[in-house]
Amino acid sequence: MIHDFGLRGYDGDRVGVIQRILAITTTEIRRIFSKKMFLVFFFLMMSPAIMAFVFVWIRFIVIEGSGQMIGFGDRMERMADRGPFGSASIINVDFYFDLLRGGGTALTLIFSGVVGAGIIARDRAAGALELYFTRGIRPISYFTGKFLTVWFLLLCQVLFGFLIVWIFAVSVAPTDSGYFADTWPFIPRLIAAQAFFCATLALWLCALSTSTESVRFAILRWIGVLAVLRIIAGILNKLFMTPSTHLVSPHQVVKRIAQAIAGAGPSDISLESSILVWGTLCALALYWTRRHLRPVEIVG
Amino acid sequence: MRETSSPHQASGAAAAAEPIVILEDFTVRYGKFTAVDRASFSMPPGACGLLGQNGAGKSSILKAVLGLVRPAGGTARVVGFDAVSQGLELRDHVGYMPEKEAYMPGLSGLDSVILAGRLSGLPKGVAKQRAHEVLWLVGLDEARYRDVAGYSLGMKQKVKLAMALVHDADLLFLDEPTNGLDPEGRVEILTLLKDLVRVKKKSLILSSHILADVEALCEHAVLIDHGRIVAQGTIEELTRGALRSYDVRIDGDLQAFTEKLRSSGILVETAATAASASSMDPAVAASVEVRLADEQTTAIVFEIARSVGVRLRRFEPKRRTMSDVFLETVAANAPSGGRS
Repeated sequence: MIHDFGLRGYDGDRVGVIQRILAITTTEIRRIFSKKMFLVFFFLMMSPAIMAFVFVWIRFIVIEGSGQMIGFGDRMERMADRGPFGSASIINVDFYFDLLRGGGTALTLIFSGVVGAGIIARDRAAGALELYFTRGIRPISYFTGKFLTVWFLLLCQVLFGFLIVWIFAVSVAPTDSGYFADTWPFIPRLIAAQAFFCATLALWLCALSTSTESVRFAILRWIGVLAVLRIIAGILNKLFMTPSTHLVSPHQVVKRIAQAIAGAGPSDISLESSILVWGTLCALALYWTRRHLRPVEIVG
Repeated sequence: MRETSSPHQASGAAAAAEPIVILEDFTVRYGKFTAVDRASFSMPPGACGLLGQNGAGKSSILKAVLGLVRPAGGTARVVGFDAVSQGLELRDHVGYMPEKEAYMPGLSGLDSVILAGRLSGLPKGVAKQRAHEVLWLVGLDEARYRDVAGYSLGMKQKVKLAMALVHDADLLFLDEPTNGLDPEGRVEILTLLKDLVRVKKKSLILSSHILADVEALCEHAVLIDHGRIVAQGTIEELTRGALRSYDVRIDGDLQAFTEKLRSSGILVETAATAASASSMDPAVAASVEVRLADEQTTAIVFEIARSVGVRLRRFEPKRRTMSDVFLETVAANAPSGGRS
């Protein structure tokens, strides 16, 4: 039986700008997580958190529960207390801030490029900007929706995995180990630091994404530029033997500030200079967005 | 399911008479190039055509009214909202179907329409329910869960139309909706639009260079050429024109008849006239097109026929097509120099 629904009118209230922004964000997140390939990729990118999970499991379940494993148990315990690949102990904020050191950084750069660099470029290529901007939203609302999407995805990769690890560790740690008492004071600072780190990367990603229609180019540009600047910073540091050369690398700059917020290990890069470079780059990103986020090409 | 009417539809006959779009001295510039030059016109509710060649300025008017391009001057009032100062409110009450291919990448037809509804202020549940309904209305109910990127061109046009309709728009802006479609797809879209206008009582502005589409769908049209409004009115008025045309078929001396008509100040313009000028056979019936000015009555033609001794075999009003109107109007308003 066919029902002709007709075309009903709508007299109800219309929602405000925040709900409209969240509509963009939730739709985009759902779209990204609905792809099987992305889930595989995401699982790979979560490897630092998965490794942290394994080490917490070794520390609190294998070692604590199998203390009678003579010899082997001692070695495992030393390794777990020190952390994997020479990183900090699991009761230290550095363990949660950056597990794999350089390896984690590379994964974050790749992940951010894949999920964020093409987020607006894809819409430009499909002509979707015209569809968005002829709705009851301003370009800034559209940009905010996309920014929140990238921010959330980066937080998933950088922070949420470690928070789950921490919650797991709290739940399995023996009550007399003092793990919770030792670790909970730095968790709020860690969340703030990673939120800042991810927000900055999300802003830069979205801004750069406004100026191209090619998703591949956008990803290559993001990963390439950051990686090249990081390498240049390393070379300059070796040549001039001064930590200020790290200011050439935007990633190092934002990481330095996040490190200060988290209260993570010492750094020889100047915090004040880092804040100055960060502010300049963010201002440039906003200018770039304003210049390039246009809905239509000029036609007659 | 209970049917409700939109505020615009509910306003009754009094509102129906009021123009739904009023432009005054509306100007759009891209740098030094003037795309729309002090355009002034009004459009009543119903289906209105915005006619012009490619690059005439039709899309620029739509984009400036919708806030995609900032107008350089003038005012535009659409469904009661000022296009410049009340752009957000206006865009909640109109739907737009862009000319070029446009879709939300990675989303299904259903998700695209839901998102469009939510961006226009519909609550999530309402947007979802209405999305199903409008997709059914445009004939995409079977394909709604598929990614739009895999749709045919005709299906993409339908999704754009569904996105323009989902939030109960008072007015639809359709920019070349049949562009690039095969004949079957074109007929399908036009049928859908006719249903929207005549059955669902929606108002729409159809921007097109395909004159037949406008003639088939619209009651009112605005002709734009080189950024200037060159004619406007109902299709009936435009096709009738200032001169009344008649098809006249006679038996007798065509040359004497046409010369007498011309000497009386009547325009006689047909290919038959030119062809018959040299090889005219008074015994053979011939057709001519006679155009009368407002002050001339049809009786004068009968009088002249009687005076030259020809028999009128047929005398009936000739209706001009929009194509005739457009070509004549554009030729009459051809600019002597540049545009701006």
